Order: sequence, then C-alpha cells, then structure tokens
Amino acid sequence: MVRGECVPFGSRYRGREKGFSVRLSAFLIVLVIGIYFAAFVRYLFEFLKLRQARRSWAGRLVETGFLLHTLQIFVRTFSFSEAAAPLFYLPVRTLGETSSFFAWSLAFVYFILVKRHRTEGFGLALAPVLVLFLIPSLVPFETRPVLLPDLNNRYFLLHILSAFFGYASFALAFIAGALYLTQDRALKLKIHIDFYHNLPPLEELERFLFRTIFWGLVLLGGAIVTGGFWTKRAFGTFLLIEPKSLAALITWLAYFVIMLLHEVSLMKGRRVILISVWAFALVLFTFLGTSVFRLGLHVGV
Amino acid sequence: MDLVCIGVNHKLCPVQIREQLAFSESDLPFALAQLRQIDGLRECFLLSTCNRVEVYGHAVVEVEPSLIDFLSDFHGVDKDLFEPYLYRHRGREVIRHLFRVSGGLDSLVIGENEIYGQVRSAFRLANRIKTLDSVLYQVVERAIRVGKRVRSETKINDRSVSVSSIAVDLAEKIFGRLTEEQILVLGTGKMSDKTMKHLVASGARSITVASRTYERALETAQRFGARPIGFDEWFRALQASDIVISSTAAPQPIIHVDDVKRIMNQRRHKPLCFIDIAVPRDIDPRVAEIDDVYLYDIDDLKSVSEANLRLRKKEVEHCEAIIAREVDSFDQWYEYLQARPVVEKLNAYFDEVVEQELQKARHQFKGKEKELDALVRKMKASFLHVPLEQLKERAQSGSIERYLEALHTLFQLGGRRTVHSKEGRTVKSEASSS
Repeated sequence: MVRGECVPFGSRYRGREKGFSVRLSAFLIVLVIGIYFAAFVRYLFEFLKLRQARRSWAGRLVETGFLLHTLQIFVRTFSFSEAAAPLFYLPVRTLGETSSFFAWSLAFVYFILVKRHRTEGFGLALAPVLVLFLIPSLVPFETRPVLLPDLNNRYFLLHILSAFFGYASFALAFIAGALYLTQDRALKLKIHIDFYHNLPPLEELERFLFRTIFWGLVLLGGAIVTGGFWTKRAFGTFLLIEPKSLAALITWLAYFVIMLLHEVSLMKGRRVILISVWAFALVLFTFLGTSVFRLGLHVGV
Repeated sequence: MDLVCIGVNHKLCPVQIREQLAFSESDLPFALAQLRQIDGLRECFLLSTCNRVEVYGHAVVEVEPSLIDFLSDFHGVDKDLFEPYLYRHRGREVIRHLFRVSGGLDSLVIGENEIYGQVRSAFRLANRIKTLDSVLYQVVERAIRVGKRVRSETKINDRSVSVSSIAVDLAEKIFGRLTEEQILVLGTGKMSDKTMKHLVASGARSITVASRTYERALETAQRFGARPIGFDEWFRALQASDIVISSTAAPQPIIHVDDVKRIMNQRRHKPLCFIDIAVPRDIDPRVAEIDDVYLYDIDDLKSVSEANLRLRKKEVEHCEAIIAREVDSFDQWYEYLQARPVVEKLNAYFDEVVEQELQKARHQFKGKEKELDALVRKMKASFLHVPLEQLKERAQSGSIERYLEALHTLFQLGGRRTVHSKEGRTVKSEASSS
C-alpha cells in the first residue's frame, strides 16, 4: 500500500482489512491464477494442434483473467482505504502484492496500450509469465516498513503507476525479442520450422516490440518526471542522486537510443532486437537490482 | 440400396487412358443428358477431374453394364481398354467412396482442396441439368458437407505440401501478410507461375518479373498483374526487393554472397528472403550465413513438404472416423426414407377407418363438426405417435425392415414392396394382399 505521511508501511494499517474483502481478494487471485494457467494449457493445445485462430479460446481466457485480476486489484485497493482518504492505496506493499501488480500491469499494457499490435500467438509466452508473477501473491510476505514523506500526493501515485506500466512495457518488449530471436534462429537453420507455425511472423514481432518500447519510454519518462515533481515537493529538488533514479535515467536513455536507431532506419532486424533484449538487463537492475544497494528513497519499495 | 459407381482414378489407371475418358467442361451437360436416358436409371452424377472420371447412379434395375457402355460410346474408346482399371462400388460403398473423394482422402495429394470445389461444381451442374432427385442428391450434398467437416475438424489440409505454396508460407512467416512487400521473380518457368499464383492469392501486390526474353516476362506479368522488366535490370530490382524467387536456367549462381552483403548494408539489415527453386541453384548458399537473410532452396522446401505430408497422413484416421459416422447417418436417413410410403399408407388406413365410423355417428354430433374433427385429429396423432417414434428409432438402429413387414401384415396395407438392404442387395417381398 502506498499512502500516508511519513509512516512505516504496514504498521499503521495492519489489522484494518475487512474480513470479507480479504477472503474475496484471496479467492479472486487463486481464480485468476487458475484461469491464466488454463489459458496457457489451452494455448499449448492450440499450438500443438497447429491451428491458427484469430480469436482463440485461450485468448478469451487471458482476457477474462485480466478482468478478474482488475477486480481483485480494486477489492484489494478499496478494502484498505479509509472513507476520508483523498487517494486510494496501490497494493504494492509486500513482495507478493508488488509481483501481482506487476503481472496486472503486463496484462494492462498488452490488452490496452498495444491492443492493435497484439497477436494470438504471443499469448502463449505471456500466459506462463503472468502465472509466474502471480504465484508470490499466494505467500503471506511481511510488510516492509518504509519511512517516506508526502506520500499522500497525486504525483507519487502517478509516479508509481507509470513506473509499473513502463517496466511492464519493457518486459513485453523483452518477451517479443526473445520470441523473435528464437524464431529467427529456427528459420535460418531450417529446424523445427513447423514448431513455430502459430507464432507471429518476424516483422509482426518487430512492430510489436518497438510499439512496446515506445510505450515503455513514454511511461518510464512519465515516472521520472512525476518522481521529479514529487521530490521537488518533498525535498525541494527535482533530482535526487540515488541508485534507482540514476538507473531509471540510464535505462530510459538506452531504450531511447535503441528506438532512435530503429526509427531512423540505421539498424533493423536481428541486431537491433538483440540489443533491445540485452537492454532488458538494465530494466531488471533498475526494478530489482538497485534494492541491494540499500541506499536512497526506493529502499524496500 | 441401388446406388452404383464406376470409375477410374490416378491409383489404378494410367494417365493415357484417363485422359481419353475425361469429360471436358463443355461435354459434361451433354454427357449428363445422355446418361439420364439409360433405362432404369433414376438419378445420375458425373465427376471428371485430371485424376479421376467417375459415374454415379441411382437405379431400380442393374445399370452397371449400361454405364460402362456409356463411357465407351461417349468417348469412342473400346471398353476392353479401360475395364481392367475400372473400379465398381455398390450401395453403402458408393457413399463411403464419394465421402472419401470429397474429403480429399482419395486424392493424389491427401487432403488437397481442389477436389472439394470440383465435387461442388459437379453437384451444381447435375442440379441444373436436373439429374439428381432424392437419394443421390442426398449422397452428393452430404459428401460436400463431409468434405467441409473433414477439413475444418482435422489437420488434413492444415499445412501446404506443394513446393510453391510452402515457399509463400515461409515468406509469410518472416513478413506476415505480403501486401506491402516488394517481390522479385527471376525466371518464368512452370514453378515461377505456380509460386506467383500463390503469392497473388496471399495478397501480394507488388511483384516484378524478370526473364531472359522480355516478351515472356511481359506475358507472365500480364497474367498476374505484375511489372515486367528486362533481364539486364534485375540486379537493380533486387536491391529494392524483400522477397526474391529465383528459377532461372542459369548453369551457375547468379546471386553472389558479396552482392547480398552490400545490399543488406544498404537495407540496414531489414530482412530479405530468397527462395531458390532452380536446379542448378541460382543463389550462392553462403548467402544464408548473412544476418537477416533467409535462404531456402528446393531441397529445403521438399523436406518441409515431406514433413507436412506425414502430418496429413496421420490425420487420415480421424477423417475416416468422421466419414464412417456420416455414412451411418446417411443409412439412418435412408432407412427412414423407406418407411415413408408405409407411414403414408398407415395414415390413410387410419383416416379411412375413422371416416367409416364417423359416417355412422355423424348425425349425433350435428352442429359440433369442428370439435369432432379436432378430436379425431388429436386421437390420430396420439395413436400414431408411439409407432412412428419406434419406426424412427428402428431406422437408426438399422432394423426397420422387420417392422415395416409387420405393419404391412397387421394393417393389410397391401402392394408389392421393395426393401433395400444396407449391403446394397435388393429384397422384394410380397406383403399380404388386401
């Protein structure tokens, strides 16, 4: 949960959750995992059946899972809110919640932001990733206490949301890149061409990949700017020199260069996609790796 | 069942004989009209393709020799020449055979789609000439339905097996839909023609054709809505192309690795696909080592074709199961069809008996005729409901004949009746005379 004024996460709100909402939320998360898993099994079945469907059952299952997950996020969010609260909480208080919210962000970017560019074959790779990110939410992790000032601020809420969506966009770009490279290898070596029959064609994957990078840049850029406004209010400066902020800036710059190389036609095809796949290491470092420094504002967040 | 089919196909009959027996599109209406004249033949249907010539009939007498004579007379071919290669089917086997033909299981390339369209065209023609009526009409209509089912419910035609369509599939695996891609076709042989046909069918709009003689390039380009160029211009066109299909008769490679490297640098490594269907090869095989260049030669395409063919063969079992179910379903329909005259007679018998009794009692119901009629209709429906349902059930289990006989005897429905057994035997029985 992200809210409050310089209060340790969890300590103030522990025990306030309403019993019914908690049970409903837990039930929904199990249901969503089940649906995503069923979608994965169905994708596998469709994949092995070698049938290309424009609107597959697996695709519908993932959509249903996303809608139920959205409901779960709302239940989780409002079950913690207080009537007088000007802002609602985001369920990113524990590792389980953060992981679940990231899975939801992945599905949100896939279904909403890159809707026009998505293809059914991509769901085969996405469904198991969503299941993997949802599994930690079944484990009752300890709430990490974090002391931060001025959390009851719109900039802070926007900062968190756009950062999650930005990372999710880059994660989708990574998946598309990995699919591209695997398929490229199969096509070059003429091995198991049949196996890749139901995956999107290389050029479609390339278009999808750069669309997600575009949204990643917009959203991570938004997170950096709103984060700047928040630190201006909280600390009087737009840029705090600390690991996560610097890593986010470097990541944004790296992806910007990749996008530029591609868009001005300096580099197309396998090479630029390989670079984009490697660039995802920066996202991982920014999102997870910076916590190891145990310095700065983002510790434990 | 008096269904009969005679024919020759690619499996048994050499092409030299098949082509003598084939009906051209313009011959077919005359042939059907002539076939209809055969004594005792109620319905007829002709299927003539490059791989088969088949004559189907539904008759009340033995017509097989007449059908063979018809084939011989129409084409002026001695029947001794083709009779050794002729296959003959009767009754249930006719249905199964046509269902298999329509499903593509009897085709040279298993699961191919062309035969499905050919059966449909032959059905439309026979309908127009009015040579189909009830039984054979149902057989052919169901065969078309089976053809559709087999293709939609199994993987029998999921993968291409022809080299030209595999080439287009591979290009689509790289570029997706080919509407925006620049395509260069080098050479104007038979293979180029087939590949261009598939390219156009997949939506390709920008095709350039180069040939050693400009006239041939022009002639091919006009057929496919492509742009012709002289052979001296092909290298310039290559630099702007995304897909290159080559099938020239050049004795050594005409596309070299250094040229492609230079082109790829100019393209900033935008993917480039080469399909080399020439023997000897037109493209240096080392071209495949360059990043973002995809090269497939005739051997690669053939190996994909063989794999796809193996996949199709695996599906034959599923198709046969569908066909067996459909043949059973036809049998049920046919069995119940035989019950129709008996049901009509039973209805008439009931009406007659009721009418006789009503005549005697009508004066007691004066002014209430409408109510009386409604009551009689209701009673008739109630009375016949159970026996008719039983007949339907017996038709499904294939044991209707015994019941029809019983009805004839019990109600003295009268007349000489013909019952068709499942195996195609015709059984004539004398019902008790009235």
